[in-house]
Amino acid sequence: MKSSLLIKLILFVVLLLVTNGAQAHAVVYAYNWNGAVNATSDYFLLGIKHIIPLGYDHILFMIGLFLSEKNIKKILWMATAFTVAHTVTLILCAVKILPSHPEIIEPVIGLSIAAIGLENLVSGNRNKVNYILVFIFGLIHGCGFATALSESGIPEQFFFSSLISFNLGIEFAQVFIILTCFLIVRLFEGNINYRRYVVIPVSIFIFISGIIMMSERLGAKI
Amino acid sequence: MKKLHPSALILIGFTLFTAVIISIQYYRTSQKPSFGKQSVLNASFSNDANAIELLEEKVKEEPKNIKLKKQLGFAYIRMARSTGNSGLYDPLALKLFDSILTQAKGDYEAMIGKATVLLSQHHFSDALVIGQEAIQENPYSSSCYGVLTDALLETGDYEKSVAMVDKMVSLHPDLRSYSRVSYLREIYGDYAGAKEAMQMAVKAGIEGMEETEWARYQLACLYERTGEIAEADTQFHKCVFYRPNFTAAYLGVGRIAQKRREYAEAEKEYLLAKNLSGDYTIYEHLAKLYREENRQKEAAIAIRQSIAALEGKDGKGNVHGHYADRELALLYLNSYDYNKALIHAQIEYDRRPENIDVNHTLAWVYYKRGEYAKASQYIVKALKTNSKDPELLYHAGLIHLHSGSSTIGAEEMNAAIETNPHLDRMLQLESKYVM
Repeated sequence: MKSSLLIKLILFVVLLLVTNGAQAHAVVYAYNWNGAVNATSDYFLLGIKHIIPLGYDHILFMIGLFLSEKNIKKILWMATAFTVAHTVTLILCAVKILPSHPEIIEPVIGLSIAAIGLENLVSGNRNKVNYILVFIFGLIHGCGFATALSESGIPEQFFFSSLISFNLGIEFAQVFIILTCFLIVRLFEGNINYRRYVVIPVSIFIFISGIIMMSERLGAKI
Repeated sequence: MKKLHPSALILIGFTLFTAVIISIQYYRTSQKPSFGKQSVLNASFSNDANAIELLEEKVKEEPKNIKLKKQLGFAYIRMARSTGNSGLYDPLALKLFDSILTQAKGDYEAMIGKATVLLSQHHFSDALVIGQEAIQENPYSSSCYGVLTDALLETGDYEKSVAMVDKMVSLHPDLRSYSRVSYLREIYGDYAGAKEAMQMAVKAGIEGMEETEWARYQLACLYERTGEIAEADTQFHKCVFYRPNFTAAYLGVGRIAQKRREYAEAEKEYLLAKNLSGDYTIYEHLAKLYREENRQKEAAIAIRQSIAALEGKDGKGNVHGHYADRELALLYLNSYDYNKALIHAQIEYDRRPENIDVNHTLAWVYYKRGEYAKASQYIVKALKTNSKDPELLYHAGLIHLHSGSSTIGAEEMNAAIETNPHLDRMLQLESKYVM
């Protein structure tokens, strides 16, 4: 029985690690726009691709968010807070109301990942501050999404439909990650100490990854 | 005093760290010359034409800025590939990378840039040397292995090239490594594997990106070479759809139309390509089309234009620093000037005696000159990797037929037609004449 649990645990960690090849924002998109292209579907797919498989940092963040709570309803509420926040900054950056500063946003995204990992380690019970924290992280990640989108370019004639499609693609990918985590965690349900064998080791991994990302991005030349 | 919730402490900590990051980055930015409000990096990838304009201005303002110069150099390389106008962009890129390497001798990215230009100019041995130097600087860069893969392949060291691409894939399995795997598999006669790898390359990229569409174009060419012209047509059209300025893709669409005997449509596509670029291959395509339509006078003019575009002012095939002797040899064959064809084929052979394409060209020149024994000698070398390229096999078949090995010749020609029933119509006519 114990060995089967160990296998499941290893499987879970492997699933986390296999995304290692992807580097968020390291891949720069080019989108030479043809007016006839179906903007909605293309930008929807671009939004998905920005998370899966390219957005290693966002995947880690979503896993961290998932681990912060056992109750799926509360997880979805937090994900909603995150979504609302990143939608706001994504739109504000896209219409150039907010300036784009990837040299600041990218390390802070790394910091936010470390923070969510740390929070899962030190904070057992949830309160309003968690939602505020997640909302703030959402605002920051939204600026990161905007940088990725600006690298692709947005066709002027389909500006808002492309923007919305891109955001929907991101949402789709996020929900996919949360549901995948949910299904995987269901495998362990009732069998092991969830916090001890899942939340703590994975959160340590997320925390360390966040610190590494932040350091790397700070170390990068501007 | 009420104890703070851990999340509140994290929030405070996060805010403080963010403030520190902003300060660090603000300090760093203030210490460096500004790019202005528009991101140079973004511009360079969204639209290379605009990026080049912007970067050229910035490089003028900051001639010592290595990062800007590299960005401009790589933008030139991409423009050369997508427009086919390497005669214009390659020398500009080379000059930039040389200037960077004078400033920063061990800059491996600049070395990769320089080697890439040298590969484009067909200076394969020089590219090999630079690639080997680059790998000393950074043995973990998949791009270094990419340059070495290409240089070794072009100089005919296929085994080492395979070893390099293996390393490249293990370091970074991506579009660039998959496409090279595809090319090597094709050279070794594995068309199914080549298609599979190129499909993976296309999937690994983002639609519309120059590299992705280049890989899609290569995939289309694979379909074309293996007779799947409907699929090839679809892929060529996709390239045009995503990159409306992609000259080679128009030529691909035209070739498929020509194979379907839709000559007016083919000519339209070739002329569209001509409007985009002055690349010699466009005239070559037009010449083949006119010849097939029996418009001999126009074909002769197109061939002359093609040679003129390729030969350059010095008349030695070194236009803008490019070694184009193999291409010139083939063009002279098409213009029935077999002496000049031999001169150029021999020059290229002296540079790359182990390369299968070069041996193929020289063998075909000797065949056209009626020197079948010599043709046979070189076609054997051209077949050393067991390539199943239908054109190569068909040529080999014709050469063997004339050299007295009629059984082998017939087998090779049958194999070629089996792989690609839509093989060049003029070539098939020639074989009927021979038979």
